[in-house]
Amino acid sequence: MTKWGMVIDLNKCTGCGACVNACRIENNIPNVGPEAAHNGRSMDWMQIVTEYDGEYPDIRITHIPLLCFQCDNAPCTKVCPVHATYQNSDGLVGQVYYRCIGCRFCMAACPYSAKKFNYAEPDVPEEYENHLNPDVTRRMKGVVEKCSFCHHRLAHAKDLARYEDRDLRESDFQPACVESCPADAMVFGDLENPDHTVHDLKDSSRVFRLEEELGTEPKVYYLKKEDK
Amino acid sequence: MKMQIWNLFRVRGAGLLFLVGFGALLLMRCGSPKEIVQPIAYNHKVHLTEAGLDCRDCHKGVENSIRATIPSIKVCASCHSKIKGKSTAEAQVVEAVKSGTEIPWQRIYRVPDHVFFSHRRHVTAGKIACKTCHGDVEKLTKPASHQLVPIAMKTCMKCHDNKSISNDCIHCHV
Repeated sequence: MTKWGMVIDLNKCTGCGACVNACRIENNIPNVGPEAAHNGRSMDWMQIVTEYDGEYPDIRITHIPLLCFQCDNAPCTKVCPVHATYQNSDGLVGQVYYRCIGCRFCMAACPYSAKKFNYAEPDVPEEYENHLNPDVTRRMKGVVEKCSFCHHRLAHAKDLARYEDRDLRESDFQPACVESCPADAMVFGDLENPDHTVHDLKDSSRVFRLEEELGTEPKVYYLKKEDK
Repeated sequence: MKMQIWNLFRVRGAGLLFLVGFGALLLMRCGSPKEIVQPIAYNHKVHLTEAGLDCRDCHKGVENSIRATIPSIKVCASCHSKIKGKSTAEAQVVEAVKSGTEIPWQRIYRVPDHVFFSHRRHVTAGKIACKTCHGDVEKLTKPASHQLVPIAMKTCMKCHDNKSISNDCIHCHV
C-alpha cells in the first residue's frame, strides 16, 4: 500500500515562487487577472504564505508553501454529496470535475482553503492554446478544483514501470512543484516505503503539520524553521 | 377528488421529467454521428489479409507508447515507392510518397480531454487485442466512416470489472 506524501523544509524555502509557477504551467491554471485575484478568485493550487516574526530590524521571515494536504481523514470527501471528491487507494484525494456540481461544500469543509472554485470559464489567450498540458483536463465554469499531487504524472509513471516490468521508483513520480524547487526544500515520495527519503524525514524532530489538532491527518509535513 | 388528481400529478412530476430527459438522450444517441471521410480510400483488408501485415506494422506506437499513432508518409513509402496494383487509391499514395507530402488522415477514435488512456498499458501489459475496441478492421475494404465499436465509459468500466482492474476515478480521469 502506497501513501504519497511530502515534506517541506522551511529552513530551505526561500519563498521564490518557482513551485507556484511550475504548478500553474503543469496544471493549466488560468490567469484570472489582478482584479479577480484581488477579490480572492485566484485559481492557484499553491500559494506561499509569509510569516513575519519580530520588529524591524530583527525580523524573522518564514515562507510556508501551501497546497492540498491530501489528508488521510479528509473533511472534504465526507461532505461531497455526489462523490466527486474522494480518497483513492494510494491515499490521494481525487477531484472528479465532470461529477462536481459546484455546491462548494468541500470548500467550506477544508480547513486549509486548498480548494478553488471556477467562477468563470478558463480564459486562455489563443496563442497559449498549444502550450497547455494535454495530460491535465481544463476545468470548466462551476466546478471546484485543487492540487492533485500531479497524479497524472503517477498515471504515466505507473504505465512506464509496468511496461519496463519493474517497481515504481521514487524518481518516477515527482510533482511539478517538487521538481522545480531550486532550494530542494520539498521532498516527495511514499511515506510508508523505507527506501524513500520522506519516510525518515517525517520522523524528524523538527516536523509539524498544519492544524494537526483537527485530526485531518494531512500528508504534507513541514520541518520547522530553526535559527542557525 | 380534484386535490387527489393534483397530488398525483405532483408525484409524477419527477417521473415525467425523467421521461423527457431519457427521451432527449435517446434522440441524441439515435442521431447519426458525423461521417468521417478519409482523403484516400484506404483498404485495410488488402493490407492485413493479402499483404500479410499486422496492425502494429503501421501503427507503430501501439506497443510502446501512449498513442497508437497514425502512420506518416514514410511508413507508406517503405512499400509504395512505385505502383504495384491498379487501384486509384494506391496511385494517390504513390504520388504522395513521391512528392513527400503527408496524407491528412482523419482520426476516428478520439479520447476526450479528461481521460488518460495508454495504448501501451492496454496492449502490452493488458494483452488486449486491437479488435476489442476497434472492431473487425481487417474486413474493411473501404475506410470506416465512424467507430465500429462504440466506446463509452461503461464499456471501459465493464472490462475493468471483468479483469479486476481498478475502477478508481482518478485512475483514468486526470
